[in-house]
Amino acid sequence: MRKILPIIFKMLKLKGEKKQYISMIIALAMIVAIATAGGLIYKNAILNNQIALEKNYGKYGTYIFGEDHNSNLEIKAILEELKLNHGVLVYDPSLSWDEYPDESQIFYVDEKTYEKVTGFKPSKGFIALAGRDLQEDYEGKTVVLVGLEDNNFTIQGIIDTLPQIGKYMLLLPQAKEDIHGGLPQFFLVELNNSIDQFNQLKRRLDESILNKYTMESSIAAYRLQRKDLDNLETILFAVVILICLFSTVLLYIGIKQLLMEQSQLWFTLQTIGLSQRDVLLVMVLKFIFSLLLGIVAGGLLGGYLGILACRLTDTDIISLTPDFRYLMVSGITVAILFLLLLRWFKKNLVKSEIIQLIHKEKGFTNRGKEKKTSKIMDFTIPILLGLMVISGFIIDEKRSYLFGLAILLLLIWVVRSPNQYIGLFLKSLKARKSKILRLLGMAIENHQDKTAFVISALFLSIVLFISSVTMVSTLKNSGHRMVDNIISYDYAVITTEEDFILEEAKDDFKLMGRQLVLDGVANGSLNIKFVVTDMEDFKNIYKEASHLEEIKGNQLIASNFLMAILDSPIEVKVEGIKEAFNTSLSIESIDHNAQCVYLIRSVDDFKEEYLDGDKYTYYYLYESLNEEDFPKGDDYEVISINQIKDQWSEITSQGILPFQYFVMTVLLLVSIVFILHVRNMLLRDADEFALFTVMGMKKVGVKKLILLETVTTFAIALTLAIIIAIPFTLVTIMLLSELSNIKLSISFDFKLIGLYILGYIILLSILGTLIGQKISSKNCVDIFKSREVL
Amino acid sequence: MLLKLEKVSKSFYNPDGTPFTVIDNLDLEIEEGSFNAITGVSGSGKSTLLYLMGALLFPDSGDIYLDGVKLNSLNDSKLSHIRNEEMGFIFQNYNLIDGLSVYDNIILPQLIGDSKKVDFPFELCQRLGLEGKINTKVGLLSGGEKQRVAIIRAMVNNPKIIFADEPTGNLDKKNTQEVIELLHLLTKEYKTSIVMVTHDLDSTQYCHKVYELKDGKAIIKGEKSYDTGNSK
Repeated sequence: MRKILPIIFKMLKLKGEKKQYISMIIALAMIVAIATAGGLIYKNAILNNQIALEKNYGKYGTYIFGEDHNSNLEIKAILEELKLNHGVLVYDPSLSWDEYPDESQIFYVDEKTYEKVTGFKPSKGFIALAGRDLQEDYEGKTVVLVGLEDNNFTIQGIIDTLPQIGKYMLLLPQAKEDIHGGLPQFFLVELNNSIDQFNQLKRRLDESILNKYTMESSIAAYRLQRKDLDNLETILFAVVILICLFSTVLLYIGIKQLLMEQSQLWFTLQTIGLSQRDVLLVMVLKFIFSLLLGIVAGGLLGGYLGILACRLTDTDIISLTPDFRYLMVSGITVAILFLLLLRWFKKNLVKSEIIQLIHKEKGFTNRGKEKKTSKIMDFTIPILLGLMVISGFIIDEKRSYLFGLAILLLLIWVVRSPNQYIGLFLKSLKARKSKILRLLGMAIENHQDKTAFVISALFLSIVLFISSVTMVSTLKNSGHRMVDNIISYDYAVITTEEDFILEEAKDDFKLMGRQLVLDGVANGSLNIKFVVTDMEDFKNIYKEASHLEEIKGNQLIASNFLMAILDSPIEVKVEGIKEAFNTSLSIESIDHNAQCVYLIRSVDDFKEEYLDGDKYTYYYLYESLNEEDFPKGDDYEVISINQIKDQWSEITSQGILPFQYFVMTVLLLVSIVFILHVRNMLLRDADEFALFTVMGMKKVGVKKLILLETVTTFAIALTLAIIIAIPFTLVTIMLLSELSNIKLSISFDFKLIGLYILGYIILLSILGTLIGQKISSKNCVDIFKSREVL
Repeated sequence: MLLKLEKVSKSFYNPDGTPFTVIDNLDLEIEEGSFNAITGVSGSGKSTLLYLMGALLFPDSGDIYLDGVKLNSLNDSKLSHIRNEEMGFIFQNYNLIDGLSVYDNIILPQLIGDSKKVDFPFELCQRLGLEGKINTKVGLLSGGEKQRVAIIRAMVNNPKIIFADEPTGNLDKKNTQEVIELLHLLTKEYKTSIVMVTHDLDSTQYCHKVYELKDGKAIIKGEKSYDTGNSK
């Protein structure tokens, strides 16, 4: 170590060495930054989503449950009588949803109602309430309202705010005492209500059974959305892993090339007495120094980017600590990069015969190197194709065309590797009569290893971009799927807060169609509560919905109207629906595993019972939107279906939007670093272009040739990338969809992809022009001279 | 007179900004079909002088004429044309394009130039023993072979003058001899003038004129008749 450190410091004086350090620090900083920013955004996005979700479903005190179904019904009756609407809260923060005893025993009230009734804002505090057989146990008796120490104020609040009904009782069953542990405190409340009144309440319970199902579907929806969220987390995580892996490959080939440039230095060091072990140690120390600086720089940059992305997308910053798993990914990525570099370094610059190093001075143009560098292309593509084929077997047979395409590409690759195809292309260029094309063919052929690197790197970065952007875009738009399923046609939409206005509008414009009612409570996440539709409309919609497999046309005849309660995600269960049609006012019995509940009844009944103007927003969907036909009224507003979609999109993209910013930033950074590599590589070819000048090529010719070479290289990479990236992305998303059980409708963001490619073309053209300018402006003698010194 | 240098001076600058003169008010003439050598100690400015003659560098003062055309007053386009048609260059480190074949390397000047067709000098290749290696990549050739390819490339457009910068510097004795004989052949058979920079006096055996560059001036060290080759 004593002799190594001075050498490292001496080497730092070399221009190439400084460049290497800077490149390695940037590369490592980027990996750390990706993980930090990703972890930060991810954590905050997911936390925000969780809070939004839990808030929507009133985790903070909007549920009540009893020991059994009957007691719940009783509780409900009492609470209704108490004008508590559906119930008062029971919430135990120590319980997760999955730990609730039975979803059928949970009743739901919104927070506003709770606050209205109790005078308290819902908080993390709780009271556990449950019912028993009140008639039997508490008639004419003093009953007990029980709460835990922390929450007695809430109970007291209820009692205080309900003076006129303060003599009712609520109590906590023993079971809940066990949950909370310790002895509860008691509040004594006199119950002197008559048994008749109680019985009267009980009778009403039978009529309000529907509420129970509403509550159940709400909980089912919560669980499903929760599951969606979990799956979303997994997919986002997978996207980051993908980005990290691709970036690592790009960075690896970049750094490797920089190391190769200094092969003469490694040669010199060994000739002056450094052992192979020492040389390796120099490299390891170099990596460690760069890593230390990279961690600091990347941590700061990543933190800044993460916070910026959250700020830009109005995502509340709840945690400043990145998700641990992302840091793990960063650690693993750095380790992989290190091992790859070490392995390559050992094999090529240490273990090889020393004298061979001297021949590597000119980078990749030495003997026998072609085969090694072409591995990038020869291996990446078949691996991607192989993954596609394997994925194909896992997914399903319906997408066989994709597997067919993958297998076809694989076969094409088996016949000849991409490098060979590129070679053929170059030969065809060289065979042209046009001199500039022949020169171009020669220039590219001479740089074939560098060209292979540029093409591979460009290829990888484009594949990475297309697949990541599509995945994020798919996730972002996955919230649309319900909307898209429901609104398959072009509809005009009238939005109004009041039902009667809607009715008036309907009359005014002779609207026929469906009414979509959004759950006014569930702001913050997509929750389409009801769709009222007539039978034809229903059939039209669901016949086309890909998820609907069990609907049979002849089952959908009996009713005039069909009302669907749709909760995310839609997966229709129609067992028993036939029976439901036999009555005009009936409730379909629900399979609790079902993700969608259908209630078959008349629209009027539905409205009477459910549509409370304060709580819902109505959208009337009208076919063939023509906004001029719907002049804006004072009381209602005509909006397009796209506006609704946008509105939903905004809601559902919560968490995804900052992630999209993140992906874009990372890819931009990777692209910039990559473009800098391309620049350095082209500049390294300066001696060749200087030679052309010596031979009499005009400066404008040199510029033209460099530009052409850049553009051709890009065109090859782009063509390859598009051929591979699109099926690769499709299959990857399908696989993720399959594994995560989320119905993802693949959404290629062609606009963004197009912009990215256009940006790349412009950047590379500018780069080619500038480099041409730079090389042609230099004196060729200076270029030759500069190549002769280390 | 093919090439004429009149009172040519060229200075460079030290890193501290102080100038040092490499070529100082130098006058020199190169006859058509002559084989000339420029010798001198390291750093005497041999290569600089060669690059000035080849219009790869420009003098600070003085003029350089090729066939009566003042090179240092021409624009890039005209100079490029002259370099392509009337000059050839040979370097110590060959400056071939390793990734390309012998054929491709040789035809490069033709591709760059204005001539419409590519005329590969098979005969010359044969004479230089490269006929079996036309499709070999030059990266795989030996040093002597590479220099022969470089010479053919310099000759491919039948230039009036060839500038050779230490053409034997990387070669062994046998190959050195071969290359020198080959250059001599060019002057003899093709009437091409050659200006060769070398520090190896043995290599100057066939030269008609040998200059020594000292303190920025060229002193004639030896001279031979073109026809007889006898020393004067």
